[in-house]
Amino acid sequence: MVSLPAAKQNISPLIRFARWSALLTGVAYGAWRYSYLAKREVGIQQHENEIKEKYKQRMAVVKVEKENAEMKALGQEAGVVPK
Amino acid sequence: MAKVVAFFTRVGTNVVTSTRPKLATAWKYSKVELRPPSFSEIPEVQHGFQKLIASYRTGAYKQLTVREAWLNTLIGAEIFFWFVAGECIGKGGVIGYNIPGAVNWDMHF
Repeated sequence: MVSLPAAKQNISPLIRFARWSALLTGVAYGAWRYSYLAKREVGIQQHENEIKEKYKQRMAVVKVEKENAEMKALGQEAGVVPK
Repeated sequence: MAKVVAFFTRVGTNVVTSTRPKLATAWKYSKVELRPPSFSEIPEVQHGFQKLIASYRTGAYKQLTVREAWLNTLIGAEIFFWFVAGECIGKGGVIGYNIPGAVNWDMHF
């Protein structure tokens, strides 16, 4: 089992400063970017909801037509006269 | 029920006893590597930064050995990884920006 080396006692302060500043800058950047994207998302959600509404209405009409056609075809196969 | 409790307490104590030396090793190294620079060390930080810039300006960085250059690259990469870790903390997740309503994790067949 190899033993680990002793901890180096004189890490350059530049390196330590860079590590901490990178960490804190990352936290700030992540938080800022999250709020920025969340704000943009409001408008995108509105736009997509409109599109989904139109799609639902269109699909409802198409679905009713398809169902009627299917029932008619089934009725013809079964020999039932549709009312 | 008593067996379940006994099982989990046994697992918990095993986890604690096995990780305690590893945590001690990690603390031993973190104490020296991650000690934030005190106020008296800030001039050294400035000097170190100026030395970096000077070595770039004079072209002295080309006289580094490959081993030194490789170690400096590793240190730079580690500093960048700290930035990524901070970003993960700031955005509240590991994989991406989980904005409610914008993300869909369902499987799309």
